Amino acid sequence: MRLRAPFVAGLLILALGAPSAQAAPRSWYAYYLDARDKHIPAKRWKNALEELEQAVKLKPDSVLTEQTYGLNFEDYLPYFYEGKCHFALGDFNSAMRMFNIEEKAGKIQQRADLWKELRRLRAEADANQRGVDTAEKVRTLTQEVAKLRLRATELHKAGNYDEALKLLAQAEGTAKVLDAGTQGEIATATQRIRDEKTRVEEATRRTQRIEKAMADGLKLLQEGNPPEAKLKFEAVLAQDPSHEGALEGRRRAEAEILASTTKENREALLQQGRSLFEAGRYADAQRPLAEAAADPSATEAQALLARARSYVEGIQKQKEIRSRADQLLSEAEKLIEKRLFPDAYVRLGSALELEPENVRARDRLLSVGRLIGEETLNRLFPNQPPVLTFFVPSGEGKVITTSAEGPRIEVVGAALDDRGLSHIQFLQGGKVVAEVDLLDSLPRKQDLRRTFDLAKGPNELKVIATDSLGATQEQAFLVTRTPLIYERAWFFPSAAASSAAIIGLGFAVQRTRRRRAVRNRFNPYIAGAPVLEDDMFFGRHKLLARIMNVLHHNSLMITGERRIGKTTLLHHLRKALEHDEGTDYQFFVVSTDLQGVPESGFFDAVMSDVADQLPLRPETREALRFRRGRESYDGRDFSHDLQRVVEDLAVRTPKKVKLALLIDEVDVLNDYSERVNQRLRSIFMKTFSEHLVAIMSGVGIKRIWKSEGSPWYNFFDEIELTAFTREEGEALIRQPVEGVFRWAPEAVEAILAYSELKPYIIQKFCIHAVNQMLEEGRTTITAADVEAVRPLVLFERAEEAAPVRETASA
Amino acid sequence: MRNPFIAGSWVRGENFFGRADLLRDILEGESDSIWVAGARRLGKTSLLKQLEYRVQQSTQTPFVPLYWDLQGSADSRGLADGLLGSVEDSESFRRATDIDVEDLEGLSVADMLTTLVRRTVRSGWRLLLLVDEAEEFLAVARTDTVVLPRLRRIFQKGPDVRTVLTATKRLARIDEMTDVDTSPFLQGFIPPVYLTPLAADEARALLVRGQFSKDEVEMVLERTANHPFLVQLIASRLFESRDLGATLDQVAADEMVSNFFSVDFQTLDGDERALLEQMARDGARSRKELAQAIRRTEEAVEPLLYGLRMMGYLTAENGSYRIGNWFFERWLRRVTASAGARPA
Repeated sequence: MRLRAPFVAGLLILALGAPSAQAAPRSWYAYYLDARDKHIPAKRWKNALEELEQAVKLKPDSVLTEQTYGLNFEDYLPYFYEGKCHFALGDFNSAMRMFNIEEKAGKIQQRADLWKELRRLRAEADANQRGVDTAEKVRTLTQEVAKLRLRATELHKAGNYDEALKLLAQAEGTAKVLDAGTQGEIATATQRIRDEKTRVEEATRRTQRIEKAMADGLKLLQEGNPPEAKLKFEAVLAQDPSHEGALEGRRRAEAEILASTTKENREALLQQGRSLFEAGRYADAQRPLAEAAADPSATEAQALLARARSYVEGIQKQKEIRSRADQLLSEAEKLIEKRLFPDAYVRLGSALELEPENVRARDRLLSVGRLIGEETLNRLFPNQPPVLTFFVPSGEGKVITTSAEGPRIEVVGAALDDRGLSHIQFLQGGKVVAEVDLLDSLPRKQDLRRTFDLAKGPNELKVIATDSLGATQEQAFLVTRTPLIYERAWFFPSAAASSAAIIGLGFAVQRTRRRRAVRNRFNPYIAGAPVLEDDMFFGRHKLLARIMNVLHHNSLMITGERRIGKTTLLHHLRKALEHDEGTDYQFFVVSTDLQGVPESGFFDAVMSDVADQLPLRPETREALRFRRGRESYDGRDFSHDLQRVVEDLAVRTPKKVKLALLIDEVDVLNDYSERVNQRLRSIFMKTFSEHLVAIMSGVGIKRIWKSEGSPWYNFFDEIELTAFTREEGEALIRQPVEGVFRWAPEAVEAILAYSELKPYIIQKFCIHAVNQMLEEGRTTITAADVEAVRPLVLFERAEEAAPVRETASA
Repeated sequence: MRNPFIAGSWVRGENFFGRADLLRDILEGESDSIWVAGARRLGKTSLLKQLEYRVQQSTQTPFVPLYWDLQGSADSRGLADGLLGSVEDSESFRRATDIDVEDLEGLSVADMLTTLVRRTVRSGWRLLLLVDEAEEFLAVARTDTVVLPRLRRIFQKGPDVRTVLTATKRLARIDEMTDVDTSPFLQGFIPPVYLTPLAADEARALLVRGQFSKDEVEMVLERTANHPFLVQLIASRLFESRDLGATLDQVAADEMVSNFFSVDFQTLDGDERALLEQMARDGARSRKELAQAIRRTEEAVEPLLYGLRMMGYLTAENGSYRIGNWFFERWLRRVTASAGARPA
């Protein structure tokens, strides 16, 4: 017995110790249930993730009501819970990836609560990720701006003004998407450096001028030409009244003049100088006046000489400024051609410093600033290829494999790109079968719909989207055509069942489409920017047809309150005119926006757009009086050039030529003098104006008319752009999301009532109501959504309302 | 079919209707100084453009036409600029007279005009000078008292030049301006030839383009009293809508049309306006009643009534006068009523 007791004890020890030394492997459900029921409720996200990863290793597929132990059954949805953990840890991309995997497994959809939660969390993850992306972008941009400013400060301190200004130009362009405070600080720093640069350059030029005038004066004295020498010394003294050399030089020159002339001579010279002065020949008047003024008692001669010199110097200075500004502008244009935008920016800034009213320099400065910003953004955030989403056929991966019954398949989806799409190609068997050119409008979203004819067996289809910067994205489909249902033996017995299946499939397709739309936060409405896409252009087709019908004979003035859709209408009018076929007329369209165009630059601005937008022959361009940076360009020059343009266009078509000027923001003409407005009207009285039509748009034209002649605006037929009709408003609300989301009738009614049928307000309501719906993972927009966003829309509307320009009837 | 009507822009050639007698009188008559007076939008520019076109198309004419728009000239420099622009605009004129724009650069307007006449005559032609928006001479006279007498002498240079001025009646005020102390500027141009509304047949011929019903055509003629701008405007809109009632209402309420009447009304002098206001308030009135209402003699009122009738402001029937067209009458009644309602 004594022997057996230690043996039993040893066995017991072995038996008790065995589990810790040689543990049996844990089952998938042990990991899973620990994660779901212990760690997640206790918010131990990392622990939960570890457990779930182990569970997935053991059992990768989601499954419902799976037996765990004994007679216990559990839903196994590990990716959903992984997604939850990632979400809580702030890793939104991983969260969305896990939710998508769970969705694809196709099980969670049968658990309504969990499925709802998944969609809500995924939408939030998506929104949060966007916020993260934006915050990261802002951080990167802020760092870049700070770096550029720091380097600019160092260069400034080292006296390298041009390089400092170049860097600030880059900083300014980059900061355009940042806060106004940063932009203001950069602008202040830029101005400070420009001022200093101007001061330093002016001081250098002054020293050079003094040295040259002194050298010239002394040489002239030696050559026995005291009057001219005196003028040189006077010029030095005008710059530096205490310049000893110049004082001495003038004294010597005057002494020599006095020695070589009599009082009578000098009086005659004074008279000659006075006559020349009064005739405005100030330069010629200087020499006789200089001689007459040599006598200290000749006060009139001295006063006249001072005035003549001041005028001549003023004129000379103006010429120098103009020539220098022209030179800077020309250098800037060359630099722009070479895409050296910061260098061009510095030149343009200097030109503007010299001539603050130089419209050309200001316009170019603005556009170059924009280009610098774009270039920096492209560098920091390289362009991403377009995103392609397909509703039909649906699927994931580089190649979506599907089968089709029948001879055709329709591919339906959408392409998205933040820089704008330039074209879409549809390929079959590697060959392009259709192409959509979007270069004119560069839409950010383009609906895709194409029916392909299928051969029996496998068919390779492809859709390629290209954005405005050339990045492409493609989606391939492998579609196997199976025999038609009625071609099969079992067709008739199972016809009823098949019909039911087809209906079910229809619902499934629509459901898939909706699901995708929610996931992608599909929201096609546009408010604020002009509506460029054809499929979002509502309510103005009748008006457009009317305009097209009268435009060959009539110029039009389109008026309407702000944001009623004037610019949008002009855009679509342009497209319609460019594609106008089947009439005797060929329209050539030029669009101009007058916003910010001063009176002095009006004709120049319009002709600049004509020259930019029409493909004129080189010899025509040569014959134009219009030159970029040219100092003055008036109505007569404009008329001359338009004639040349019309002549050029006339040889391009056998049809009657019509040059259509689409002029937006015409309200600025209200601030111009009546004379300029009359000059504009007189262009339309010229014979060649038979080939000219103008379509102007603005809030309203000032009708107070004081001049003797006809009011400038009376050659226009006026069309007022009003709110939509009820039917037009309803179409704008419903059609953009048709087949994707549903509008509850009360929601539509509410928007129609609140918006007063103004298209911009309708779009605002739609944008916010759809967002509201998406937040809650629904696919129907309800009246409650509209009510919820109403305060926001009304607030935005009030914020955006700017004082409307006063117009009055005479 | 595209809309064939033209509202606002000038017309010529196949788009120009009527005025046959006036065109003939100007081109074939004896007078070399003609002032065509007409209300706003009655077709003054189109008349000049048609004259230019007719002469350019003719092989028998002694004239070379030059259209000169004075709009916005303001002073003698502006006049010179505009004239130079006109020469630039007319290649046929430059070719016929062998004139280069460079030959004229830097000349004063009077010297430029003298050169143009001389070169035209030297080339074997007579100059048909078509001066549009001649009211602008009023603005010029305010800034420059020297240039107008010089221009007048050239305008009246006998057979070498035939000058046709178009303007509203405002131009008559130029001879009342005290700082023009030489011969009256309009000497030779007075009395003016009035530009009337279209004749009924001319307006009907225009409306044929719209393929409207006979009733529609007659209604348009009645409501517009054949005023060419109103006929074109209504026809253009009717062509689109095919609803005459709605079109008439829309035009009557159109702010652009109201503004047109308002600006046009201001071109008349005080007595003329008073006569029209009287008729707007009281309806048709005899000459005697109108003279009493504005406290003038019948003899003083007679030329005013004649001028207003010729320009289409009023019509005369059986010795009584009433406002010429329905739209103008409605507008004037509204304006007169609101002025009357305003507290003194």
